Amino acid sequence: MTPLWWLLGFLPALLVLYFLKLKREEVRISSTLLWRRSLEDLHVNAPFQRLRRSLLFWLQLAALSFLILAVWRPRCDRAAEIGRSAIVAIDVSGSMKAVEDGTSRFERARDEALALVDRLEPTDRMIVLSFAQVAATVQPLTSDRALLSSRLRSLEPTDLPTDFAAVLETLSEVAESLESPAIWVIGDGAHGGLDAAPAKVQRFEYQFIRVGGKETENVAITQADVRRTYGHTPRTELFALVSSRFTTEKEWTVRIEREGQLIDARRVRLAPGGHEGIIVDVSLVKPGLLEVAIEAGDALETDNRVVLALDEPKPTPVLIVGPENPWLDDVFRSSPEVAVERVTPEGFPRERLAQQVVDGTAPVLVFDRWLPETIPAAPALFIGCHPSDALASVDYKEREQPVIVDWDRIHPVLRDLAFESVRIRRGEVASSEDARFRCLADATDGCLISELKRSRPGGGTVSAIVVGFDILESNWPLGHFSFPIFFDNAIAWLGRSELEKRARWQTGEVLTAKPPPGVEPGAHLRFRDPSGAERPAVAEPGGLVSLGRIERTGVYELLVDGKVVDRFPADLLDDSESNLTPRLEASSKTGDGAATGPIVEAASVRETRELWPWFALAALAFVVLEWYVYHRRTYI
Amino acid sequence: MPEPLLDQDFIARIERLELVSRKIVSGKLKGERRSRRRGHSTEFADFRPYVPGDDLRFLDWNIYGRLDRLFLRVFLEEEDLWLDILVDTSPSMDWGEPNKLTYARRLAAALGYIGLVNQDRVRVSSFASRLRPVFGPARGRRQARRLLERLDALEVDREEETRLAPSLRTFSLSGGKTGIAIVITDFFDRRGFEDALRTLTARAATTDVFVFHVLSPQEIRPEVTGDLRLVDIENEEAAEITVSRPLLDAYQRSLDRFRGGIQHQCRRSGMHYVFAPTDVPFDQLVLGYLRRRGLVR
Repeated sequence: MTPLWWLLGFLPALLVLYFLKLKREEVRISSTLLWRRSLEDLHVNAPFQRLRRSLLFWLQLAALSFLILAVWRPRCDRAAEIGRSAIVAIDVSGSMKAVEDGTSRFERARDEALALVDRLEPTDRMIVLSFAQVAATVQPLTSDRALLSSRLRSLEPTDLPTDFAAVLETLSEVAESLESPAIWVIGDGAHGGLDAAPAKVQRFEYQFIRVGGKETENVAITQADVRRTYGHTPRTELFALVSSRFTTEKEWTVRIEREGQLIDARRVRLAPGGHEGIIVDVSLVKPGLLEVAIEAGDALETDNRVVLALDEPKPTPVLIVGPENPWLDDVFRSSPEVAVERVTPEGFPRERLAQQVVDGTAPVLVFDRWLPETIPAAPALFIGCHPSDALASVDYKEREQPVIVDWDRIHPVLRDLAFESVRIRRGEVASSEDARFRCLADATDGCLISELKRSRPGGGTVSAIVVGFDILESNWPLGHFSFPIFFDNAIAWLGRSELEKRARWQTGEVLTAKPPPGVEPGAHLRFRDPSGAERPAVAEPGGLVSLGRIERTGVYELLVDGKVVDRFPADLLDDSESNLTPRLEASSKTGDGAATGPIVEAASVRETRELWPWFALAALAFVVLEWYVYHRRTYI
Repeated sequence: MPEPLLDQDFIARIERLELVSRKIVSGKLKGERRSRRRGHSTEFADFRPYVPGDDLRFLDWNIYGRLDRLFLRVFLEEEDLWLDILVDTSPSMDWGEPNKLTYARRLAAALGYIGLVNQDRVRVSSFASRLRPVFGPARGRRQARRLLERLDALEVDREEETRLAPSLRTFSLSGGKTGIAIVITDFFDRRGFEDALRTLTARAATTDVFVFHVLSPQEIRPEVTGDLRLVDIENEEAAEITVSRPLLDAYQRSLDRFRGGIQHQCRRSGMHYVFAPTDVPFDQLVLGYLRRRGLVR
């Protein structure tokens, strides 16, 4: 409430006081002679009568003065000076949305920043940054207080995680460009400190104004995903991990809905700091958006809800390269979850595959007794041949009539299969000590079926399975159940992640999406963010469209010709951000003004400076005193 | 029906009383009072040598026979007594509980009655800003009824303000009528009481002047609280006060000084000051206090 409202509130009381003073009971008496003499007597005998006569006036004057002072909003400069050049960095990460005592941490932080702006001297300059994952400029260096305030007021919190070390690095870089700058960091400190920060960060001192409580209770969904499992009965499962930051054991209800319709609900009872996973079979649930929500009235609302996309399973594309092989063709043709394309070695689509590898849409390659010069970095099944570029440390040796003596019964590809009666005329056995090599089926002196991790050019690996014999030179296709099941498992396992559409995105990630077929590169599309705001996007030559960094949770939509063609749920899913307890260690200044670390705990600017309530109270005290003295008054 | 000024019981009790003047007064007739002037009365006073011109009827021939000198017998001359009663009828008197004017009328009635039954010349006047005749002069028991009627009908002079000095000066200058003068008033005159009492001083040489200061209990011990606007019923002047302990103490001091001042001036002028709070029972004042003070016996 502003002082003006306080004044307006007091006015009726003062008026009542005034009229009460005027209202005297009239009494008719025989003579006022003796009363007049008594009053004169009091006058004469009263000490400091001249002062007393004007005391009411002085009291009224004092009350009025204090009231006017209160309206002027006097401030106390107890905090340190702002500095000639100030850098103010305000935390806008997800945890700043936490609400404590009806006010969010971000609002408190912004008030602190506004208070700093208010205290700027005309010659002082300030730069305002916001930070979460990275620091961003809100307002470049200026001494225009109105502009700084306006920019701060338009600032909004995000749902981004915090990378404080990176932020400090940016702050130190900004500080290097200024002459003896004062750096103010305003945030909740619910993140790590300087562990990962470069040494140059230590050259400056950071005044840290902490907002928010020390032990704020919060429950959150910190992990969630929808995955297909590949066993003998493939299923689609929803997985969510609920984490509690409450100080007492509590129970919550977790609701799972599809497009607003409840499909399941679970009770979760968690000890302080405990976690519990929830797995829901959604194999029979129609594709759409799944929402997992905890009904909890805790401090941070953002992390109580997660939205995931449940996509329709699409057939895994498979490209078979090699000479004619009717057994292989038959086995893939019989599987509904596989879309097979067969090419001869001459027709091997090198360029198309290279592009698909870049786009992440490459099919599972099956090299049947033939290898190209360069093997694309895509998941692949090698039959009767082996990739020479995979691992130099794998030795391959030819063997006549190798016998499979043991196999990995746990691996998803070989689970529940039997190889006892498989006879092989000729084959290659492999052996390696490399960790990226895993033997799946052993012959007497080597590995006949193996798994390899091949390097991907941009980093990471792709999986490959090598079958060390020509299936046409074995009896495996003849009457063995293991034959079709092995290939079905192998294709499903190799194509498991690369080909699936992502169920959810996390804030802080760059959202890239593949537009639907028919959209040409360069086409103008539109993205709609969770707030409903739309922005244009252009399909890049690779066929992808990029929205940029996701800053807010919710469902982003891709529109073609005004029609929603795809939806992308974005969630916080950050255990660190959901932990609202301050973990940043800021040192306090010692008696001689020295601090033990670069981050120094600073007093709140906002709370120490406003003095007007005290002046208003003083005014009220003088009014009451005046009222009392008036009643003690005994002269006419 | 209003209460009579004097009830029968009280009249019976004052029947045998008489007014006493400490000064020997002279009257036109030989009355029941002893006069300092010696003359032709039956009560022997003294002898004195004969001087030519004396009435030969009062020569004591027995002494002449024994001493061969002429002596004249001197007798005390008995005269009638003038009782003047002045009642303040200013608006301030019509106030208080018991009412001051009622108290004053009853006092006047009682003293007047005593005077009448003792064959004194009784005259009653009222005053506010000037003197007005109410009754008399008259004497004799038969006039008592009329006296009571006149006093009963005595009312406040609403339109007038207390002005003691002109009224009492008129009384003093009326001259000749010596005896006892009784002034019944509350002395609430904003011009002060000093001039008024001074005008009575000349009269006090030949007359026993009794000043009855009538005040109500509410004036002696005011029971007021809070913020008040006091209005004077005589002149509508207002005084705004906030009652407090210091103010009430100051009032008591003012009252004491007021009474003390009147008393002091009365004593200095040979007048008698009688403080008559209206809550002191009337019969107690007349039969007890005035008897002790020697006004009645």
